Amino acid sequence: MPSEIDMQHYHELESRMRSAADVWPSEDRAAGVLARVMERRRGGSPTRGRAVLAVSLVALVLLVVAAAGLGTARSADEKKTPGNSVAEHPDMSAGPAYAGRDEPGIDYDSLQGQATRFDTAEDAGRAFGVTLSVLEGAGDNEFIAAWVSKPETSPQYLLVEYSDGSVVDITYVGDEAALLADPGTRDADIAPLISVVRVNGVDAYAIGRREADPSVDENGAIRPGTGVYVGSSRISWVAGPYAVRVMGHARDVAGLLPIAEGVSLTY
Amino acid sequence: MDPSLFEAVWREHYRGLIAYCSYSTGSRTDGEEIAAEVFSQLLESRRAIDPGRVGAWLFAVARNMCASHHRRATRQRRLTVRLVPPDHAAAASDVWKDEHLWAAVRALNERGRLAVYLRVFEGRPFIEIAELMGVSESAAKMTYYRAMKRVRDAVSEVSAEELRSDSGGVTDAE
Repeated sequence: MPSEIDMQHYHELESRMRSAADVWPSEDRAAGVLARVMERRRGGSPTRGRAVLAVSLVALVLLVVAAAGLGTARSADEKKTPGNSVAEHPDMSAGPAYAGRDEPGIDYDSLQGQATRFDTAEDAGRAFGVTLSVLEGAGDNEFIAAWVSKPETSPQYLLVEYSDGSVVDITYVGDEAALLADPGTRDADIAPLISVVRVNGVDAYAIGRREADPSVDENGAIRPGTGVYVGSSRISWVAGPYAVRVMGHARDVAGLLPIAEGVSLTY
Repeated sequence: MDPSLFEAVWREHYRGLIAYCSYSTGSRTDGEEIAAEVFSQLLESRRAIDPGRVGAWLFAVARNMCASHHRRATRQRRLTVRLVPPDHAAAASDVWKDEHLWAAVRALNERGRLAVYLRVFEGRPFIEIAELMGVSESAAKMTYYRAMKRVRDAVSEVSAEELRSDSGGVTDAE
């Protein structure tokens, strides 16, 4: 057991923690959670039992909302954080994530301060110190812009943005390129989802977009292969000190392959 | 689960469970998403759950999901290209106002985080914490005090660093 002095410190710390975290949900947010529970039940097969349950839950939502006097559950807009920043929400990035279903995207506000915009991939490549060409004018997936990180940013990166939200991300990470290019081969949940594809003669990892809701057993343990969310499809490989990642939430792996094969990088 | 029973369980536990998930993940959105998933799993459950053990079941599922969330978030931070400064990317929380405390709590394991939540935010006695965590009372106490010691040590270290920084690096003035 802790000493008396320790106990006093812990009491102070408890008080500080209570002031530091606003954990309690408002009634309207709680109603939003309940609405989501109901929504998931509605997603199942339309049996009579489910219909009865849905009615019951609707009543419960209304009760909770009425108690708060705060209108209905959160709107769809509120569920998304403006900006779709990769960094603000890890689950919005292209990598595997557990919770959250928001789509990935580029945080233009952050890029404005940290990167320079180029109108062609060739110009961006020159600024980045490489020779680069990418797939352009591919019908429904037009090249929009390329971005190169400013010298003070670490790690250094070059992004190519396409009209359907696909992104080519080339990051200079030296010895850690293999780590960055690996979408999760050492994670037991993710590894079975990863395949190897050939991109211009090089082996690349490929993983498709996926939303597998978690399923738990009676002990509360998540069953293998469930609870896996991959925010966007990805093909990634190592090119010397660079990790190259082609990502897209609107495409599957086969749809991304032409973009990946369109990347020509000489360093 | 029977809808009328679910209603009773929801009324009793929704506030605490959502609060715990938000506290643990540091994100209202993620916390609410996990809480919704936990209650969905309860509804889906075809096994009869002892009404007296529903709270323990809910927190066990939530604890596992929050732990999984942290594992993935940690890996994500390692692999994600940093489009904003790393400290901002790592510490962002819309639940915690004190980033040092949040960092210290985030560094705990999920069992420790749950014990701290139940004691500090719900003010539960150790016997109830033990029941909710499925451990003995002495194990619950040990988990809690170890976690609090880690938080205290982490916060003290940051305070000492700030003190050194404020003094311009001079720590032994003559």
